Amino acid sequence: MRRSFQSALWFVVFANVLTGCTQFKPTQDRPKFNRAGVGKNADGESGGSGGPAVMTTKPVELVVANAKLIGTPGAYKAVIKFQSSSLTQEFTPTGAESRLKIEGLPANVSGVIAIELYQGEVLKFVAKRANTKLDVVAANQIVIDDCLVLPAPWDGQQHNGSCEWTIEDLN
Amino acid sequence: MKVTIPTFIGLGILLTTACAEQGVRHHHNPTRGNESFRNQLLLGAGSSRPAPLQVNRSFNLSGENPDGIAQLKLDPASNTWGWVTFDTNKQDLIAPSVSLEEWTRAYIERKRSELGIQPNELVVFDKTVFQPVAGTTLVTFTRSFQDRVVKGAFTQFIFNSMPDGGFKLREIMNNSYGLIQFGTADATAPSLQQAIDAIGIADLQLETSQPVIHPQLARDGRYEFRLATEYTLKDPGEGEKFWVTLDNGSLDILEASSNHIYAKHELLLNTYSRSYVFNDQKPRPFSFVGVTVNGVTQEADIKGVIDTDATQVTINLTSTQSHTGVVNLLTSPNQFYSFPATLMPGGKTTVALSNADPASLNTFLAVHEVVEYAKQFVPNAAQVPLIANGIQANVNMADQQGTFCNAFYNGTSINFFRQGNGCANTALINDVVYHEWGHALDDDLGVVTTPNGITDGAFSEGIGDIIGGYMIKADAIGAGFNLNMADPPIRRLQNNRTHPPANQQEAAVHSAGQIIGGSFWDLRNNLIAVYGPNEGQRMASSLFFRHLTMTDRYVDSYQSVLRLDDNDNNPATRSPSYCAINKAFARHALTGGVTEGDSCVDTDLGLRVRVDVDHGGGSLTLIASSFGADSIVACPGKVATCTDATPGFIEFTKSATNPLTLTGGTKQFYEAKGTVTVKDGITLFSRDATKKIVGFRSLGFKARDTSADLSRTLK
Repeated sequence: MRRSFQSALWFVVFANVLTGCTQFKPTQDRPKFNRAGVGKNADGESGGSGGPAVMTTKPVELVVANAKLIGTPGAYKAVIKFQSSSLTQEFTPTGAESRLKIEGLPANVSGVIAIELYQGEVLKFVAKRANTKLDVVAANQIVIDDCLVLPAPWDGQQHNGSCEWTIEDLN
Repeated sequence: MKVTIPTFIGLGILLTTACAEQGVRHHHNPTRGNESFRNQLLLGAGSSRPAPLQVNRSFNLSGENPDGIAQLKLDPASNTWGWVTFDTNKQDLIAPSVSLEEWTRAYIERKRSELGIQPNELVVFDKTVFQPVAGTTLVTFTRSFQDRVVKGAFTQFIFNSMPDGGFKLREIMNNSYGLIQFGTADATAPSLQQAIDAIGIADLQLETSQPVIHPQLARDGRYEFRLATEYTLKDPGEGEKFWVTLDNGSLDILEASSNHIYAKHELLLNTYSRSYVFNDQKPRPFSFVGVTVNGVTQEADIKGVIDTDATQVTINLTSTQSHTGVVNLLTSPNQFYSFPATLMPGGKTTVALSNADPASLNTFLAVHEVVEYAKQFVPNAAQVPLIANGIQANVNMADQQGTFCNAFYNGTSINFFRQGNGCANTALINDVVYHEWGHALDDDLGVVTTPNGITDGAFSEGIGDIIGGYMIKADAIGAGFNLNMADPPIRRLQNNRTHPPANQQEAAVHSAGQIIGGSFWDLRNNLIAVYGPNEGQRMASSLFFRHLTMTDRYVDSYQSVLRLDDNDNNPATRSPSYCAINKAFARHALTGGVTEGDSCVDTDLGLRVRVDVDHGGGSLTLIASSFGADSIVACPGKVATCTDATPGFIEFTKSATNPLTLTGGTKQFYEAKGTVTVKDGITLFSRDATKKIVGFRSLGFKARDTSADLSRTLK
């Protein structure tokens, strides 16, 4: 009799624990990850946390090589697109590189950052850098090499292999 | 100090002048004098302009502003007021009895620093106080410095007239040029002979001269001031007067203008785009036509523009630059055709075919068009006698037998029969004009050109038809040859004729000419299939016209075209468009038995790629461009086939308007649906609308030397 009472008691406790878990299930959604953990899609984006975007706390230094920009002198407007952000900054290239301070870019997510360079309202150059991930608190620096700065719009007359590639006919 | 007329010209920007009723007034293209003088003459009076004004952001308009200035723009080159506007509600009323000139002088006295001009430098002239329109009064002073006129300098005050008769200051326009300092010591004024030598027109007579200061904007953005002399000179022979400013030291011509001012007039001609039978008239520039006014003949330029403000002119269908001189055998068999014309107000006149003899007019421009087209492709075109010298065109021909229905080239002229015997006037069918001109070109090109450059009659007929078909972009030659009948044409380039001709009838030159005509038409179509209508036509035209320089018989054309298409100087390897060429000529049995099938696909040289995003590890997002593909697919490696079952297959589709690619150019753009892995290269295939492969290109991706990149060297 005692054993069955103990078993029943354990059962009640266990049932209460289960019930309690059910009753005390958190009301907010859990963070979502894909099955493989943090993975990457074609744009190198990792699975998001599902929560609100985290922004960098310090300005990101964007270093842009000026070699092509100096060919058409004057002021430029950089439109920086990263994740869902689109920020604008004006600058006038002098010397070998331009250093821009960009505030409020998304952090902790990897993706393609695109920088469009305008003179007035005319698009002159575009640079895209994949696998860009910014730290929330660190002093981030993004370097845009001259080879990454491509003339825009592209007229389609020549191959362009960007920084890593030279494109030739395979004979 | 009174201002002389030349300085007055420098004030032209202040004065409203009525525009010419006809055309745009400008200085004609000068042909006399030294180069520097002619160049300055083209710039005309007042060519040394001040720096663009800039808003003065540092001026605190909301703070202490006793002058009631609403907006202030500075001349950055002199740091003086350039344009000032005033809030007239805050301006004191100037009593009607007050002299505005004196009031202005007093204001300038107070604001000499801001205006950059001293009271004793102010110069009055006959319009110092001037009312251009009711309610507005201008008070304007020019400037002298050290007893020299400062060219173009002025200070102008603009007043509103108030209802009670008083005035309020509303604006100041100031172009004083500010502080004047000279970089060089003064030199003696050049002598008349030195001036004439600098200009380069002999026998000029001096009317007046005066010392001036010539301001100009220097590279550092500040003004520099040149001590100079301004001459008024007259050419007694031409009756033309010149105003010329010379630097005293260097004798450089700083400014030059003339009293001869012409109007530009644009002449257009309505002619047929293809044939009278389609009634497809379109206005075109009346290029290189001769125009006679009061016994003096000038030539329109390639845009049909002449310098005249006359209304009654004579138009001549010949000039030194025209590609033909037209003779109308019906009305004036012994001279080039001309007719009177009335030029319309507004600077533009379109001559209709009905204004004169349509055959003459249509032929004149048709010859012009075919020459301008062929010139793009014929090597050393300027040395080809036909293109360098032009050719006479005789229209409205009729012979003793009353035969019509023809046109011909006779070694020295191209000739067109008038309407008769059920046939149209052949000069009203453009491809007939192009065809006859083609005979003349054949006569001038090839290896054998003397004593007669036309060594293969059938080839020559084919050449004429090909040029006609390429120009009208249609295969039906001579539409409308039978009066008022567009169909049937006299021949078709789209045909199945083969070499050798099967019988005597087929061997007749016009018939046999269709063999080579059909070959080049098929070639055009094959290239268009890969490269689109514009680039395909261009490539076909280039091969055709260039091959004429080395080919005297149509049976040799295939070899010549392959030779010209060769891009590695090795006939043992296939040329880029070998398949297109072989298939075209093989259809007409001109390839010596070599016939390629559907598996023969050419390199599409128009395929290009750009790396849009490099994801690392050889994984790329690409954008592709092509001249004419409907879609593009790609597979890894150097492969001959590529289907959606092939591992790594990727399709590119035409992109909608994308700001990152050029709209309206010769290329189309395609975006990839996914990434490619380029470790072993890729092969792209261009496809037509039926998804048939029409071209390919295998590309290798070699690692680029990145050691000097900024990201590697940045500290």
